Amino acid sequence: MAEDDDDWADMLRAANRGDTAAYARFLAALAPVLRGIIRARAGGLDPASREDIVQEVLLTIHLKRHTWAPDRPLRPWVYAITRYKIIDVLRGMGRTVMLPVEDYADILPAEAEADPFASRDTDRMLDLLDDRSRNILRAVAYEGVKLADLAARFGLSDGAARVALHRALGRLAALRRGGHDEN
Amino acid sequence: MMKTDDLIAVLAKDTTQTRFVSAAVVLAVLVPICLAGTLLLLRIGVRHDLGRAVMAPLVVWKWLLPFLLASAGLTLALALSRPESRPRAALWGMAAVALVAAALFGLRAVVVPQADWAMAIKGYTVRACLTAITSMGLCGLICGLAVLRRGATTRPRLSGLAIGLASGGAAALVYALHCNQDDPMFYVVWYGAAILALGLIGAAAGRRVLAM
Repeated sequence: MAEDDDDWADMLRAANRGDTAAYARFLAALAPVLRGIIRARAGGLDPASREDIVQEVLLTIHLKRHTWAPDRPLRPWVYAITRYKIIDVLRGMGRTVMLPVEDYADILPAEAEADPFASRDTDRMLDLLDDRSRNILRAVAYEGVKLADLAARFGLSDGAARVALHRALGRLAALRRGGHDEN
Repeated sequence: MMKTDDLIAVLAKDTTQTRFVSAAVVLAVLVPICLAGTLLLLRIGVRHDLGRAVMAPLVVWKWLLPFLLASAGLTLALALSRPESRPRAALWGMAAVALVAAALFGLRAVVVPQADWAMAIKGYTVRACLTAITSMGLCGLICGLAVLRRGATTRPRLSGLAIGLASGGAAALVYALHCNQDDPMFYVVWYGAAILALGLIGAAAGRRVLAM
């Protein structure tokens, strides 16, 4: 597992230098591991709800990736965020949760089970977003629109499109947070 | 339905990087308090016997305790902004400050006759002390929270408490330059109350604004 940590850390370091392909590989490598942890620790939930947590963890890791110090091990950082999010979501459902701080290294990664996993929450939250944020996220997620084309389509400069995408993700994260806070 | 792979594709396209600089948190707390403190001290003045007060063993804690509390609070808040950290030392530091404060109070309580306790605690500037410390502290707390939001704490309430106590400590340190009520029974109670209030405000705010 120590090798994995090096792999992940290398990918994330490359990502932080602007290598978007390495970053996509990092997130793709992370997803099955998160899925395994969440299945082991929140097994009472149905697969779609668990996938909601997977997506929420990925989004949080993305928005907080600058808080990982490149000279420190990456896995404890990832696990701490994952654990926090599992507790957060379960608590929002009115359950009391005690998750020991632990090394999740012994938990097997899980591949997507049924239909390549889809999240209900993300879609529900998309509907609650402001129009531009929603349209930007949909265009990038469903049509695979590139950043440069995004700028053209929404009549923005490249820089403004980049900022708009970042803000849209930030708002999405805030909505998800609010979503299980009020439950 | 958004698939996780779709989400990953979106995330990979977002190349905007936030930065989290520890020094920025420290400055965000201290600069507003120093500015507000300077303005306040220009109006109400620095105590004339400051040099002598700093040398008195029971009085110097008026600056030492807030200083130690502010340092421990900032250390704790910064450590907590990394999700994997378990900052025991800073927590112990804060507990030690509370312990010394209680000991100072106890020391005086033994010496001062019980009949005079009320007088000793009451002093004659309670309201000024409370208002000055909380309002200066709030300036630091608000700015500190704004920067701390970029961190990734898994204990948002504790982070808020830490940054609130740190702001309160820094504000008390500045106010003590003016205040000439040197009985620990006074300053432990009222500085303590103002600092604690800021800590609680910080904790309540932290739950809302620092949660990932």
